[in-house]
Amino acid sequence: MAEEKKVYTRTKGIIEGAVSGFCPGCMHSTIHKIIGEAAEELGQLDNLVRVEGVGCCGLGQFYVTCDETIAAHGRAGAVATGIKRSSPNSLVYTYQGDGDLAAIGLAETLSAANRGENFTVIFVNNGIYGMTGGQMAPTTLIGMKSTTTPGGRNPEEHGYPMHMSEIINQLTAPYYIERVSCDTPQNVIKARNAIKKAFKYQLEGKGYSIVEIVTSCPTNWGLDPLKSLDFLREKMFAEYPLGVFRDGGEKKQ
Amino acid sequence: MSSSSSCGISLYSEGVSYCASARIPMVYVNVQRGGPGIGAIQPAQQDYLQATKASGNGGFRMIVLAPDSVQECVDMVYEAYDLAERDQNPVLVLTDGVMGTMMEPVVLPPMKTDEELAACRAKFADRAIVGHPLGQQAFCRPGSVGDGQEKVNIDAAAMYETWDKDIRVEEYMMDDAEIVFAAYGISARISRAVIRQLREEGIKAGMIRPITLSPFPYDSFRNLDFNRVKGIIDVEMSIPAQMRWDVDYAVQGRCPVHEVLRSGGQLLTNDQVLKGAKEFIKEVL
Ligand SMILES: Cc1ncc(C[n+]2csc(CCOP(=O)(O)OP(=O)(O)O)c2C)c(N)n1
Ligand code: SF4
Ligand SMILES: [Mg+2]
Repeated sequence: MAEEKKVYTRTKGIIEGAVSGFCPGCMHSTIHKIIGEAAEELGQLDNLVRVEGVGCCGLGQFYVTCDETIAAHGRAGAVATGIKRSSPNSLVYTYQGDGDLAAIGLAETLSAANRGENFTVIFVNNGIYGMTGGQMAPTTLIGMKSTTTPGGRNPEEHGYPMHMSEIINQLTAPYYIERVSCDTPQNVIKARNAIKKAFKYQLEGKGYSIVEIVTSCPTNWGLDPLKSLDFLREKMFAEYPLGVFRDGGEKKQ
Repeated sequence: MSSSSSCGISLYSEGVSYCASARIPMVYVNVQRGGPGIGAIQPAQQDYLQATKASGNGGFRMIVLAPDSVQECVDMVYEAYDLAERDQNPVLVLTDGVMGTMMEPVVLPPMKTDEELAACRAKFADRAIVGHPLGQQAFCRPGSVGDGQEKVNIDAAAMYETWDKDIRVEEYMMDDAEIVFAAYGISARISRAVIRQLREEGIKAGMIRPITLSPFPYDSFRNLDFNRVKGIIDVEMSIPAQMRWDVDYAVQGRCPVHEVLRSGGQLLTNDQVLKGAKEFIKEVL
C-alpha cells in the first residue's frame, strides 16, 4: 500500500477543535487561519502577541492560541506600541476592523504609523460596523445602505469613503503597506504571503507595516456569501484597489 | 506611570477603567487645575469626587494618595508603585498646581536593586503579554462574557475590603481640639498655618488631614468626641465643596460643618481661611 503523506493540517495558531463563531461566508475566519499559518511558518507561534481591536474580531479571542490582549475600541495602535517597546523581541500584531482603525481609532492608527512603530497591523476592511449590526463606517461606499444611512451613504452629509492604506502611504515612516483580499484561493495565498512578509520585516526591525484586507460582511450587507463576493469584486475593489503601496524591502530602481 | 492635569486626566478615564478591569498595575498623577472643561490653568482641587468615586466607567475603586509637600510627592510615587504592584490595580496621586510648581529640598528613597526589579517581573511573568509557548497563552482581558465579569467585580470588591490597613491620616493638634479643620493637599498646608495662629489666640483648633483620600479615613471623623468638638471647617479649593461629602458621611450631622472655599484657579490665602474660620468660631464657640 502506498504511504500516506499529510499535505495539509490546521495551523497550531488556532485552538484545536475550536469553531470560530464568525458568520458563514465571513472572511474573518480565513484571515485568522492565514495569520496562524504565517506565524507558524516563521516559527513564531510561541512569540506571537495579538492586540485585538473591538468588533467582530473579538470573536477571535476564543479562537487563537497566542498571547493576547484586547485594547479599548480604536486604541490598538497605542497598546501595541507599549507592548512592542517594552518587549521588543515579541512579534506583535494588531487585528482591527475599519470602524475600530479608521473611525474611533484614527488618531492612534496614524500616530503609530507616523512614528514607524515596529509592529504589524492587520486591517480588516468590510466597509461597515459588523459587530454592532451594520452602522456606517468611514469606509462605507457611496450609496451603500447601513442602519445609520438607511437612504445610502450620501457624500454631502456623510463624506466620502476613506482610503487608509493611501493615507498611511502619505507618511514617511511606514515600511510596508499592501492591500489584499481573501475572495479567491489565489488571493488568500497572496494575503498570507503579505502577512508573512510583514511579520518578517518586523522581526528584522524594519518598522511599521500594515496589511489591509478588503472583505465582505454578508450578514450586514444583506447579501448571501456568494452575492457578497460579487459585490466585493465589483464595488469594493473599485473603491479599494488591491496592490502594494510601499515595500521598503523591494530594491528601488 | 503617567501624569497630566485635570482635563487631560478625563481623557485617561478610558484607560484607567480598562486597567481596573484587566487588573493591570498603573500609577498616575493628577496635578489639579481649575475646571470643569478646559477650566483654568491655575491650581485647584476640583477633581476630588472624580478621583475618589468614579475615575472611569464600571464602579471600580483605586487607592488615592494626597501629598501636602514635595517630599510627600516623591515618597508617594514610590509607594504608589508598590501598592499598584501589590493589588494589580491603578493608583492615583492627587495633587494640585501649587504643589506641582513648588520647590522644596527632598530626600529620594533608595532605588530598587536590579534583583528586586527582576523578582517583580518574574512574579507576573506568566501574565505578561509577550509571547508564551503554545498551551501557556497569557490573556489580558478588560472584560468578559457570560458570568465572568461578575466574578471580576466580586474579586475586586474583596480586594477593596482589604484596604482598611492602608488608610492614612494626619491628626494635627487634635488632642484637645474644639474646632476641627478638614483639608487635604495644599489646603491642609494653609490650614496648618491658620491653626497655629488660632492657637496663639487661645482657640483650640486642630486638623484631620486625609492622606489617603480613598480609602477615606472616615473613623477619624466618626470617632470624634462631639461633646468637645463644636464644629468642622472644610477647606477646599473647589466650589462647590467635594471632600465635604465624605466628611458629612462620617459626621452624620453631629456638629455643624462650615466651608471655606475658592475655586476656578483662585488660591486660598491664610487671611481668607483665618477670616472664614473666625466667623464660624464666633457662631459655635
Ligand atoms: C468605546 C466604544 N464605543 C462603541 C463600542 C461598540 N462597538 C463594538 S464593535 C463596534 C464597531 C466595530 O466595527 P469594525 O471595527 O468595522 O469591526 P467589524 O465588526 O466590522 O469587523 C462598535 C461601535 C465599544 N465597544 N466601545
Ligand atoms: S457580522 Fe459581518 S464581519 Fe461580523 S462575523 Fe458576521 S459576516 Fe463577519
Ligand atoms: Mg467593519
